[in-house]
Amino acid sequence: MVKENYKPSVIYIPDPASAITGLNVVWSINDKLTTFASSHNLTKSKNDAALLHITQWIRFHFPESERYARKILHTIREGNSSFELTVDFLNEGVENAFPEYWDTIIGLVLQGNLELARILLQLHSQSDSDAFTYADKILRTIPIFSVYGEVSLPEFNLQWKLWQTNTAQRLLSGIFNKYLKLKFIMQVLSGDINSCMEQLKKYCTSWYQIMVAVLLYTEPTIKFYELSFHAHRYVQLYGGTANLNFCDSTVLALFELDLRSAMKKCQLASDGGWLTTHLTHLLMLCGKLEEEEIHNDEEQEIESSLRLDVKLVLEYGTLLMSHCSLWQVSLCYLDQCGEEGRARQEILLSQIVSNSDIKTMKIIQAALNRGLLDVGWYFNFEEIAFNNKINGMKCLRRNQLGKALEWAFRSQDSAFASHLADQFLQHYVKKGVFDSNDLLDNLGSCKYCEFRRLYIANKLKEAAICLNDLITSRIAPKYFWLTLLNDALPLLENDGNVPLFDIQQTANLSYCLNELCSLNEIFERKTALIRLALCKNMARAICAQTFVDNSL
Amino acid sequence: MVNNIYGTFVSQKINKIRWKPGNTTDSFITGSWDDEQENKIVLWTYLRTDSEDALVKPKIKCSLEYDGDITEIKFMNSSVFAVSSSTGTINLYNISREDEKLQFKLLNSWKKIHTFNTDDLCPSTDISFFEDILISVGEDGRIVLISTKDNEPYRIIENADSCTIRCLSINRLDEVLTGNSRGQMKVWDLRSYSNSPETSFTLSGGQVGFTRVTYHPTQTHIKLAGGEDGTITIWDLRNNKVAVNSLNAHSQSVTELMFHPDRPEHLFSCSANGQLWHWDSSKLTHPNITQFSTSESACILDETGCPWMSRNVKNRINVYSLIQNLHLPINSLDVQQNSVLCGCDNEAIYLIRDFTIS
Repeated sequence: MVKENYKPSVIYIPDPASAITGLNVVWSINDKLTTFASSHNLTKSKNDAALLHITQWIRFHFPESERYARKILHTIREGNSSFELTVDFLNEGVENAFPEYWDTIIGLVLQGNLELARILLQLHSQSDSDAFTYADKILRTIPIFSVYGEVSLPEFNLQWKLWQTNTAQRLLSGIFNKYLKLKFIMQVLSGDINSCMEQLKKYCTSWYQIMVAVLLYTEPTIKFYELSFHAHRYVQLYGGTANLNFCDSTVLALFELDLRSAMKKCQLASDGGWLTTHLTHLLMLCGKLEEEEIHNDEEQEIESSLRLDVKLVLEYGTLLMSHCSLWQVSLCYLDQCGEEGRARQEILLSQIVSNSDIKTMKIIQAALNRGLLDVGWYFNFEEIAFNNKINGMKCLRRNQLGKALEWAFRSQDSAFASHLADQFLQHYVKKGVFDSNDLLDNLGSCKYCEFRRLYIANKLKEAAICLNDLITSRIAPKYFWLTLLNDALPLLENDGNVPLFDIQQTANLSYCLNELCSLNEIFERKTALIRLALCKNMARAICAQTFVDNSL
Repeated sequence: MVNNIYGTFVSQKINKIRWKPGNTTDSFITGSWDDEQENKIVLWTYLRTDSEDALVKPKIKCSLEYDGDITEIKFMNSSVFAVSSSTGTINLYNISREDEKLQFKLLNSWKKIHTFNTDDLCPSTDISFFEDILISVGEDGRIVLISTKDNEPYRIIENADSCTIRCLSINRLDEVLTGNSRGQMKVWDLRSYSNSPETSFTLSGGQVGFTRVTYHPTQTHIKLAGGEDGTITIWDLRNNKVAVNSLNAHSQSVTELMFHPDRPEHLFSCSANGQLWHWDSSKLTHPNITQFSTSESACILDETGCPWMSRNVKNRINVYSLIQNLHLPINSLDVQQNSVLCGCDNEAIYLIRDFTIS
């Protein structure tokens, strides 16, 4: 979901790919260590199994040996069809066919993967010899401590000592001298690390790899809290803390259970804060980072009451917003940050640039979902309303009145809507046709539309009433009156038996006409015809009225 | 609702996803949006190997950087497809094989056929094929008709709408439906030279815009439209004054509405709040007419036997949620045989294989 490798800005580690690997390593060791740390007070047994978990972690991150071992086994089992060498494995020996044979076995042993190592050893051309038989026996009989097993810790220690002495004796007897690599493996197994340290270093790329290898065969029941002591020893071996890269030193800090310094180191990773943010948040969730612990940090004054993890999430969320396509994810992060996050959402949301309706709708929807806007398009915060208006203005510039009006409706901006309606009418006055009948249909309730509809439907009497209402109510702007009066013309001229406008209505129309003429003399010319029609109609209306009166 | 759902992270927000038409469901195309200069159209393939993983993890076969958001992808035949974008340009591509590698070969391009009278780019919102005629609608309210062989559009209806035309559905050339962002539907006869619609009507009553419109594959007079508020409105084009049914389906904007191409009893819809639904009417296609109200209109509508038109449509159609609600919009879906694809704003695509279609 998150682009963790997105544009690495600070190149602390030269290669982004290795940075990702590094992050991965740190993340998962942290996973192991913290789950322990949170439980190590509770159960003694888990504490004892510390090495088991760390070995798993090492195997997971340095899977090459195992992978290669499987490849060897696969090639042998499937026949050599896919393998370019035409070696008869059984005669020549696997060790000659695969140059990495011994390295693989040693790698496996150093990770405690003895089962696989044994299988590979049995493939050796000399596997029948005494040396290999003994080696196999040693590997087979290694005591394995199980937390839930029946063997108690002292009992296990006894077994272990016995086994190791046995191994050392075999080694002394010189039976393995013929096979240097095998001898080396036996040396490691016997716990005689000092004599083969240099060789061991060749097989390990990092301090924690070698640490695990050595601990496996010297202190198989090491306690969790003892790890940090050993960690320092092996860091020294690899040139001291000064020579560690980001990843290695973070792992060290984690082994020391110094979470705060680990966090600080993580911040140097070139991931834009991804690791720190998520790690801190996770630790906070599982209760490892105590609140006071962070608040008492003497180096930085806590100005706001925000917790460190919230603060980091807030920063990270804001950072994401800087990439055009991550605004939705960014909002999700900010959702977790309470009031402060909300405030940022409001500011940031209004600044997202949108170049299409769809994006605008999504932004509005996102705001609605978070209650930043009230439902029903009532915008209770200025920015978005403003944004919508901008959209409206944009449409206006593009001469899209209909769309502008749509945005005005959405933002419930009555002033803007009436401005648009005004433009709309002006356009009609000028051209005599509405460009957008759909808009009129849509407005539906508008009085003038009703008049048009009635008129077209030939319901003249109703149309006349409607028009009269429209004029006398004075809703319509003055420039539109002339249009209205012109519309009245055919109704006035109607030669039905009863005039459509009665005396009062005709008088109303005349009054409007006079008012209009007093404003501008140009109207005088244009209105001559209307005036004439009004006079005629007045005459007819009076006649009709008199007739009605008389007949009463 | 137990389905085989396989998600793939693609690191771009997907706006459109389309199966490549054919007998197999092994290739599809995605189009991204909202990534400034880095939008892409990508052809993905599920490799046919023994391992199970390959069937659900697609591999990129070829990809092409694209200018602007991809707003729609439509296939003309099994290899030629058109892409519309937010720049108002439409391109026609052919998926061709050259030197053993697949690639998108540009067949034709119609630049900026949608424009505003300012310098802003005008998005094309929806396109659709009718044989080899391509019709496009846009935010400028234009309808543009293109013959795929020509370099210029052969007809442009300016001011077809006063606001954005959001969606388009072509049954026949004399029955083209457009829906706008204020909730109006217009029916066009594009064989005639008239620049005004045959009819224009509002179904929802309010100002709720339409986002998608489609028609029933076998009873083409039955139209379905998805709205901005998540409703699905159903009406009979022969009587378009009133909606037959208005279903409160999703709680946010319907982003895609699609019948199964071979099995019209199945409808699929997805929405801006991350829902993907399968509407299954197959079990109840032949109703007992007496169970419906005897009012005249109900009887007439029920003669068609189409469950969408029935009064108690909710009882006639089973709705399944195909995927757990995603928190971000699902922008697009496509269905072919028994595989559904959807693309989402969480930068992932999901494949749902072998869901139950009876």
